[in-house]
Amino acid sequence: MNFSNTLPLLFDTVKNRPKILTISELTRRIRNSLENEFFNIWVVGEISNLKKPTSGHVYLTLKDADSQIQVVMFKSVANGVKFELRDGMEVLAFGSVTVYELRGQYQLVIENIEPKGIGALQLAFLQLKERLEKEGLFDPARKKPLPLLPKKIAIVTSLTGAAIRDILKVINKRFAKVEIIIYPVKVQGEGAALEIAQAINDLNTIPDIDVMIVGRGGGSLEDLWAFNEEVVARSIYASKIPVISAVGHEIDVTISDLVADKRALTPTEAGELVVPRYDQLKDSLEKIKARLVQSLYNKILVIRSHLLRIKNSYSFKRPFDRILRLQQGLDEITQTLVSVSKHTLELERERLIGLVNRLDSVSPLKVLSRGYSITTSLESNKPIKSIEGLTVGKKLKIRFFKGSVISSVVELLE
Amino acid sequence: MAKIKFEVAIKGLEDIVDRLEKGDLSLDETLSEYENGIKLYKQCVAMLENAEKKMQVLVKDENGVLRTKDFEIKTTQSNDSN
Repeated sequence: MNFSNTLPLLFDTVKNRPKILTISELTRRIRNSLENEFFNIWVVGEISNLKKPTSGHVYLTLKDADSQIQVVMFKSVANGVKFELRDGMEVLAFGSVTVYELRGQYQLVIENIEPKGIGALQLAFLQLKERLEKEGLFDPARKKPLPLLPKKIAIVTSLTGAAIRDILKVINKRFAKVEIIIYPVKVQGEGAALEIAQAINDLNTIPDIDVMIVGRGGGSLEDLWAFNEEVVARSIYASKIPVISAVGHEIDVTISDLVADKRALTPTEAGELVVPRYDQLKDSLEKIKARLVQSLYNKILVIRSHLLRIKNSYSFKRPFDRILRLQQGLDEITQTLVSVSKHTLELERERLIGLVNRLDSVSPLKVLSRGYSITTSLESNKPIKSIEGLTVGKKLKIRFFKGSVISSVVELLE
Repeated sequence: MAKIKFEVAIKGLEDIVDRLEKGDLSLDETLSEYENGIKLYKQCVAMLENAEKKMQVLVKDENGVLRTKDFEIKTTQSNDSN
């Protein structure tokens, strides 16, 4: 056979090898080798190809200028990542290389991831802050005013923390007559945020709560973290009861502080904000009352001085002046009337006298007085102006100025 | 007493005083406003004085129902006001 030479060669080669590996065996050896060599390591790189399927696991590629590696972050780890992963983000990742035997691929399984150059929590805070701000959760117009005189105050905090002690101290110091309802919650660690959010929601179902304080005393950023969680922010935003956020110290600003209706720098200040200063309220109330009384008094003064002015006015003092004046006028008119009528009367009388004189002058008696006489017919009593119709013996009546005679015609003269 | 918030009452009182201080109301109006003002003032005083101090803690029972329990916590040596 032509091949007889070559076969022993191949045989020899195989024979010299300790073992022929199957693919599975090879892969397992690669896996062991890689997993031992690259166990619990830190790597730095840039995120790309970020994928978050519904399974909850996160897949991404980490790369630098020349190389890249597939990365998987299982759900349990992914849930613990506080900040939001984004393509292009420089990160530090901690984990181990494993081999996905089915595909013969190696990948980095990470257990911790942090942004490069900034703390993970810090970045998470900034990211959530930016997102909620865009959504309007910090809008000052949405903030509710705190009640001036709350009757029922709820406090969401830990019973064992410093915050509750500080708040109650202020309340005691002010002898405040308020009802306080404490809703104890975990303020740090696993599940704290959910408890706080639930407490805020629960308190909104209890009637007559005027205001609530949500907070805790000082601590590290990790300790305060629950107050930077979105679920707490959402509860505060949704609360119908005004919320005062009082987390840590003055320098600690949390998402809760930004969403709350009022931020107290410390739990002590929260107590001061919420518990009324009775003396001050009483004082301002008394001041308003004084103004009330004064304004009525002023009104009365004004009215009284007005009345006084009227009383002192000329017309009010001499109410009959006008009547007198009218009477005077009336008198004047009457007098005029009288004098005018007198004059008219006089004129009339004079006219009458004139008429009488004129009448007198034309009277036949006047003619008679001058020696004339009137002859009238005895029968008709008419004046006789001619001898016509007269006969001798006819009797005539002759009237003189004084007396009359009956005569008879003796002779007719032509 | 009618259920009215303190700030509402005090605001109402301030409004009345503002109106009265303008001085352009009739005497009748002034008197009735004054009367309302005094009523609000008395309500405010009552609200300031009738409040009572009480402290409770909320607990959730196994059915998730919230119950209140009287509660006392030590805050240094300061005494209770009541």
